[in-house]
Amino acid sequence: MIENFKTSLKETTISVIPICILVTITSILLGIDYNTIISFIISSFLLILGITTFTFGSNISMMIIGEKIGNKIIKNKNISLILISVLIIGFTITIVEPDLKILATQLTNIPDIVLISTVGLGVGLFLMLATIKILFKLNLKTIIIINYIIIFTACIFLPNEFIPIAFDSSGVTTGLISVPFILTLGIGLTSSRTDKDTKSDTFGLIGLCSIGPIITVLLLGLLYDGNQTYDTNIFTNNLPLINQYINNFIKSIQDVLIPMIPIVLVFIIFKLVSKNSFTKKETKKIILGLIITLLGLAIFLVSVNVSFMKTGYLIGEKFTELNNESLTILFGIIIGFLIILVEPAVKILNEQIEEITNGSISKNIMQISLSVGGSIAVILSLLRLFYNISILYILLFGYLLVIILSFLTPKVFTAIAFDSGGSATGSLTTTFLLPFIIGICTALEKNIFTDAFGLIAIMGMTPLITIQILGIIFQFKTKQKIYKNIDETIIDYDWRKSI
Amino acid sequence: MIELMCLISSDKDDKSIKPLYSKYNMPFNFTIYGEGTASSSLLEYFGLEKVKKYIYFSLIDQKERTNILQDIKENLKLEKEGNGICFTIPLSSSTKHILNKINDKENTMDQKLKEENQIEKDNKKEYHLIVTIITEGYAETVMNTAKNAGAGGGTLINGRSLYQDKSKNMFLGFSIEPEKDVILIVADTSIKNNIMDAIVQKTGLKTKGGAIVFSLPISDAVGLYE
Repeated sequence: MIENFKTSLKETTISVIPICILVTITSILLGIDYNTIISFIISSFLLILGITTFTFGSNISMMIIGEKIGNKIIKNKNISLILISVLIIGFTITIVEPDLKILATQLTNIPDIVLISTVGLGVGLFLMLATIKILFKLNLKTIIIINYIIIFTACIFLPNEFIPIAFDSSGVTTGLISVPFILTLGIGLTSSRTDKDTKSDTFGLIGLCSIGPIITVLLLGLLYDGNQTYDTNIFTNNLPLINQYINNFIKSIQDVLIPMIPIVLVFIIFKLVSKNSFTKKETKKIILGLIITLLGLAIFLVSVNVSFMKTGYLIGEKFTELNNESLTILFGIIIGFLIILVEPAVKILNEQIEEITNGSISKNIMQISLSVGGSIAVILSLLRLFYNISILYILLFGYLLVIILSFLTPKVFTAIAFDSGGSATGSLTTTFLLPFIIGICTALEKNIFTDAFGLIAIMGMTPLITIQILGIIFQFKTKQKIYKNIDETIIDYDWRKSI
Repeated sequence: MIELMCLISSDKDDKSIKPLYSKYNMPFNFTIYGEGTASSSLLEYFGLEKVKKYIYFSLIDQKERTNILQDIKENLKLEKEGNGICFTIPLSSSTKHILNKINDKENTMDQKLKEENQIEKDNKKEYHLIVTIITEGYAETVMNTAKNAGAGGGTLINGRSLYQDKSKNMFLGFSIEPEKDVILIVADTSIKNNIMDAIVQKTGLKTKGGAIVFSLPISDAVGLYE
């Protein structure tokens, strides 16, 4: 475990350094003030520390709780009880997700509590659907296709402003708290099975859970109108650095303490209800793990909140002043690639995939495919900004491609792809890439909601394409060769001679 | 003669072991994940003692055994405590294909010896561990075939193949290797060859299953019921 911490620290450092260097050099070239640059460098170090601590902590706490719960509830014969507990778990872990809170405060027209509980309900219901799928061995592809047909039909009848918000809330739902939890819940739910579909059933939960909020939030569109205002002042705060770090740290601790409460509650209730579920040693480990997770998460949030948002926004703004679209796109390609390398939720997902597939689908190859997805997402978002392409066309065409690919790729890759889509739209996308696009958007004087916000929706879609293409290549490369002229008679050896 | 080599190590990237595959002609390799324990009481108190371990299995030519073990010892620094262990187990039988691929000179049990052993065995039952390595998803077929041939039960492990030939499984500089299922079945000598034959017929290399089958000698066993 300590060894794991060391390797994880090394890996995170390697993935953060390129982005740190690129952003620092770009900032200097664009003439951004030194205060911002210095705080970005400090934040990058905090980011390394935060991500490493968080993933280490969640590995020994949340992921163990999730897996145990999944494993135990599937053994319960009472289906309605299983479904109700899954609904409650889905709802609670979503409403406490820090990213969702940030999004809710940014949307001025809908009361926070309404949006948060709508998204929570969406996740809860779809986690239920995912469990039904595992219990009754339904086909993931069919469920997803039906849901996307519903979503796109709804999109046609709803105000344009609401579509990006619906897709974005789905993207932010599956964040740092829910990804490890839901992911391991799926592993637990399928762990006692040995049939052919076990692996593809293990994954796909996060994917389904991120569809839920799109539908429920789109329904909200019937009640509220989509005209939102966005406050760009959050990017231009000029307090002294030290104060910013201290203020943010206190705020982040509060922000992450609240999510921990329901998780601790779920843990306690589960421990009381089902006997012998956790040994004394495991309990100690989980408590220690939760504290480490909390600290790591707080450090992570501080680093992104203090400087990533501001730097991203300023870079976007300055790039527009250069009036060079191809240079902006080039920067976007690189930054989109690099930012996915750092995303903690993606790291957790990739580790799990590597473990479940015994290293057959290695985390490096997943990481590269996801990063390519990130680059494509940024290119599409920028093109959309420059040439006024409607988000609906991109999503419609993209998801059509996703569905076609799902018929060509192995089942397990479709499931993994949908999970990656949910995980790729994590905290760094919302705190660095989104402000970057918003920066360009404000400089070009366009509508932030319709033109900038769709980034998260596109970011959630491109990995579905790249991962499924990876699956097709994989299938081709690992095809079992059928031999014709070989002798397969069984022969005995005189093994005693060799000992 | 062919032996099964097991290497247990925390070495993650198979860089230190893979070059040996082509150096010593080892075409059949696979790996599984496991967990080891570190020896520190402080870590154990918090339940953090677990270390990820990788178990590498390879079929090797017995004549090369000393050289291979020496190379592994040097590459993975096994003389240092906690870096891992490596050991070999002789095979009691395998398909002829495996023998041909690894070592062309046969050194099999001749008929006379077989009969002598048979008399000896009549007094005491002798058991073997049948190991089947097969494309992921075919485990159930193997189990059913084995049961029909007289096997009592089996155990399933998930693993991954490691190719000897580097060029055919690379993509963008990353290796792509297929997932494999490993099925362990314990059977006595009288039915062992029937089971192995049945598995090879139904899911062998001439089919999509691509099963590789061999057996290891077991000196004694308890818990087997017929």
